[in-house]
Amino acid sequence: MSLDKDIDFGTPESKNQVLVSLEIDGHQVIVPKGTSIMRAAKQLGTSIPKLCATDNLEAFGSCRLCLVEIEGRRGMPASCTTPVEADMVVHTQTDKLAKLRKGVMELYISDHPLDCLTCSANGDCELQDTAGEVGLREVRYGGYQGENHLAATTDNSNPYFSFDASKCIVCSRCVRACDEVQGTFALTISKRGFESHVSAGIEESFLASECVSCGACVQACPTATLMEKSVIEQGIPEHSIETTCAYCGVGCTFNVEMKGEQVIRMVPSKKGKANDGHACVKGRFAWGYASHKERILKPMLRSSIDDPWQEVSWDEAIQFTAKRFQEIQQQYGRKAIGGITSSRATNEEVFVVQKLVRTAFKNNNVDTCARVCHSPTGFGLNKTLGTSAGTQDFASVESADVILLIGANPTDAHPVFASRMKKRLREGAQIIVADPRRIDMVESPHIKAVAHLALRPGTNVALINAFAHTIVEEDLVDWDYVNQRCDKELFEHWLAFIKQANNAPESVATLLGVDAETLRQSARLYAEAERAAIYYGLGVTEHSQGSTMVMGMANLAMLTGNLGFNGCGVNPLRGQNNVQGSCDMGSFPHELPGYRSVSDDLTRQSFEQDWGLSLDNEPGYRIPNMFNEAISGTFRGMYIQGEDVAQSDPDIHHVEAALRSLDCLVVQDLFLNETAKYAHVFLPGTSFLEKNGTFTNAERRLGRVRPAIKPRTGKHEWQITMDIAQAMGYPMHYEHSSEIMQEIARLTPTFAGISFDKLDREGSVQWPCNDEAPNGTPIMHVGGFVRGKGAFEITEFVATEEKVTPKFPLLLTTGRILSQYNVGAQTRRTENNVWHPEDILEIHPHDADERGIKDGDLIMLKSRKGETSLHALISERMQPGVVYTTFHMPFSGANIVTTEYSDWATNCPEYKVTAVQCKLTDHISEWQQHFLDYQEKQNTTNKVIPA
Amino acid sequence: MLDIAHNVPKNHFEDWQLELAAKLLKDFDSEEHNLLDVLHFFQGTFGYIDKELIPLLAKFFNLSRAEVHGVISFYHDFRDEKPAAYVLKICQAESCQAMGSNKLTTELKAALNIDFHETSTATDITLEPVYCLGNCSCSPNLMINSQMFSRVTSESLTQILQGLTEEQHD
Repeated sequence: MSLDKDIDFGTPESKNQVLVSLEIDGHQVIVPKGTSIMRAAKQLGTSIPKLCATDNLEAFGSCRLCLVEIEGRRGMPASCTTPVEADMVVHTQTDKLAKLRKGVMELYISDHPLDCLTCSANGDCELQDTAGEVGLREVRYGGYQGENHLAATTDNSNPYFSFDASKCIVCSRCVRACDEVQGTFALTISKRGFESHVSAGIEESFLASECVSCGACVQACPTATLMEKSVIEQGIPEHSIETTCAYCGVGCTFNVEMKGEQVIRMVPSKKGKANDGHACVKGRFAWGYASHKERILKPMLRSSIDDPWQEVSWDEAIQFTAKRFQEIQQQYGRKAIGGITSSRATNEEVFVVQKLVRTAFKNNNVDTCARVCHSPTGFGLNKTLGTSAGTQDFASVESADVILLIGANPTDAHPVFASRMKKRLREGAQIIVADPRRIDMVESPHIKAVAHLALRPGTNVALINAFAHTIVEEDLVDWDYVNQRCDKELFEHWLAFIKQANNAPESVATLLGVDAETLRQSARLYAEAERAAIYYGLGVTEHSQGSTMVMGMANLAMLTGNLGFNGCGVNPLRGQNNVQGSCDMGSFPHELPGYRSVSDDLTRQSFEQDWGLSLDNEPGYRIPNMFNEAISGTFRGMYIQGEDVAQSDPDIHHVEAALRSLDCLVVQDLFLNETAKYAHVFLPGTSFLEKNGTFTNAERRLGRVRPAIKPRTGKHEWQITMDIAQAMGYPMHYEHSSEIMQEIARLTPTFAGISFDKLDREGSVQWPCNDEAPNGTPIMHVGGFVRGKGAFEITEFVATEEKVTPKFPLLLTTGRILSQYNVGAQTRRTENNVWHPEDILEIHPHDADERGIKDGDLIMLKSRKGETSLHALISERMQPGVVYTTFHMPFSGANIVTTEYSDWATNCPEYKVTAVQCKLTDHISEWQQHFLDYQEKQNTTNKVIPA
Repeated sequence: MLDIAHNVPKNHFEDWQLELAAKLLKDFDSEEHNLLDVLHFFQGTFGYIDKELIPLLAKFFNLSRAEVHGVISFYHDFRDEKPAAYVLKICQAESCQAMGSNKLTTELKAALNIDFHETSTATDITLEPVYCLGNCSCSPNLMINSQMFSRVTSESLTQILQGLTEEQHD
């Protein structure tokens, strides 16, 4: 249930083009063929009582309340399962029906506790509402003398919701939501007749079952059986604010349901085009970090990183920052300071940080955390197609016939999109998975990949070349498409390259560890599909050839005519909520907002005019350059907005050395993160619940982020940046974040049509949005490429320098898990820790056996860069020779082990390939001991000194 | 007819072994619609559906544990523990009731000193209700393992039970 009083039509919309006219209660209604009578009636404004029906689930026909009479037909069919027919005459309200419905309702209530006044769903209960609708006045079987379920127990195992079986009416909505919406199939109706009941797994607790805690069942429940614990504890919310989730790049639209200034629950909105009313365990439930006791709400300073923090006023913190930065510039030059923008901040917050750097800092030393995730996407897609972004909207997957999933684990990292993809697969689309691990998209209930290409980490480019080679060799090329839409010269050049025998599946099979025939079959399947779509993630980009691989995928899609249409495309599944936006906003040292080069005079002039000063035409430092320059002593001051480089970036020893070298490190974040250990100024940031702005998701969709509560720190983040700019002498001034968006629109052609007003009106818009596309652009490159002709780029496979050796015989690849998010700053401050309290090392049984490793053993994971200890999980998901871990917990130090290697074009780190050794150990690593010692010091001698 | 009771073959079930089940499962086609056939096969092999079998079947058929459990629990015929050497199912449906199966049931329960779904260790009989054995014209009916007994009376019931018991002493 939810506060969101969107109309519930009872059954899903019919997509049939044929219209049917019929009469319901004396009124004519015209609806698409295949529409249920229930839905047609609702379209007229007539509600037919129902319990088991809701419009995001297929009709089920079990509650027997929605009965209607149809002239010329016998009996009283259920209106949810009866489709309309031409000239049908339907009566939804007759005496006979009223009597029947009342009788059915009476039976339901005869086995339902009559504790409405003290029930958690009081005021928000469909059972209660329906009893009212049918006019139930008495229950003749009352007194509960007969057999009943009132003593049934409550399952409180899930940290966020409870299951009170005594209130269950066995309507199956939870079971069907788990199956149809989420696609996990964790619930069932066990037994039959009077004994039938909802069972998680094999009569397991929700927590122990296959449940992924997405909450779709809680939302679907028409009673208080499945209910958020926050509602049980605090009551039904009274108002609701629509906003955009601050976790992954799916960017789900949510209603924040509140009581005064207290958030009670988050309910995904049906209006959200990215999520279609669905959510995951992070977005729906893991928002408690916003009020976590460790949140820092006051600005703090210290002169040395060994001193305790001292709380100060905003004014003091801002003046201190400005003065330090100015002193550094006076002593070491204009380029000695710079900043990093955050992919978790809003577009407006990011825009002002890059503006601060380019105006008040007077250089281009601005970079963003996309450097370490999807920078190759921007580079590769821009080079081949002309736009640094994914090509489709999420809904496009619903039309795909073949999906090629490469280096992405959507069920963990983009769960809401994964549900959509799984739904399409259950409808019959086929999927090929290229991933070193056997992820859930390879095999899970009702999902089975036609092929799992379990390639060796670091061989993506050889794989994509083998696909292209096969397609060319077997003449599966879409010649018309290539001839009409692609650059002829570049294509001819590329064709000669791809035909080389070293690109043949037979030549690379051993290297990949995938047999040649499987590669050929997969390539054929992709090429011959009516609509084939590529979806990919960091398993593509975080390699020394990340950019090459992105271009290789674009080549493949052009070769087969799979760009510019619904159901096709090259689709990055971007990691953070606003990683697309932070890139769009000009967070790169070589690019102004809208991906326009700082060396382009015309572009620069437009900004110079608007900003009233001249801009540097030389690209600034990338993040790795900043670190290197810091160590060499030429780069001395840094402003880091909401990014924890000391946990998320590779080769932590190097990062720490760089941060330690700085004269002034300013960290703006919610919590004292790992990076803040090296900071001199801490500026407390705002959570998404306090922000007012926009996030841009992986499908280029700008969604509004609306403040549910005031900034708990007293300042919006854009105000902090603005104040620093002013204190440094640049007159940056905005009264409201909407003015920042006005400036973005004014200066960036792809955003020209975007404003807060428009977003409030339309809900969300996909860029480009301008005079040519006033309502935005769901699918890019329709009819032709943005860059003109599509550019085939040569994608020669070059093996990474990082190779296994006798000393480091295994390859480590890192990734994500469902319940935790990125560096865990948010999720590990929520109950999500019950699913994942620590990062673990997954290892194949064969490799474990060789080393005498058993499940749960403590392992020292060592590379040439560093070592850290983790507990082992023996898993057949792994291939022999490859181990896997996540980096959600700071103590794990996964990035102590990763290396300095990075993408040749963008410096995106090669997180996915590190040669390592694993050995049984009885102690934690030296770095981990330091970590604990620091924590201890922080809690004892170095406590924050209050103002 | 009564002599036949001596000839009812005893149930012989394998002891539950997950490895054996996994091996046997390989002979089946993993199309989802084979789930019921496979469940019958395993009940025939092990006498019941061990809980450990559920994850194995779920993986084999590409279903969730919950789904497999839902199917098993829906059918009364699937047992979750090993039955005795004889499973005696007595019909409780309309025709047999009309011909006195209620009385027979009471006598049977008394004679074996057990209720439905229980096992009498002394006689090695598990008692189950059943709703129609498809032999209504010869009601009341009961079935022991796969052997049908029809037009059963109090007298014949006693003899049937005696037959079973005697066989055990053979």
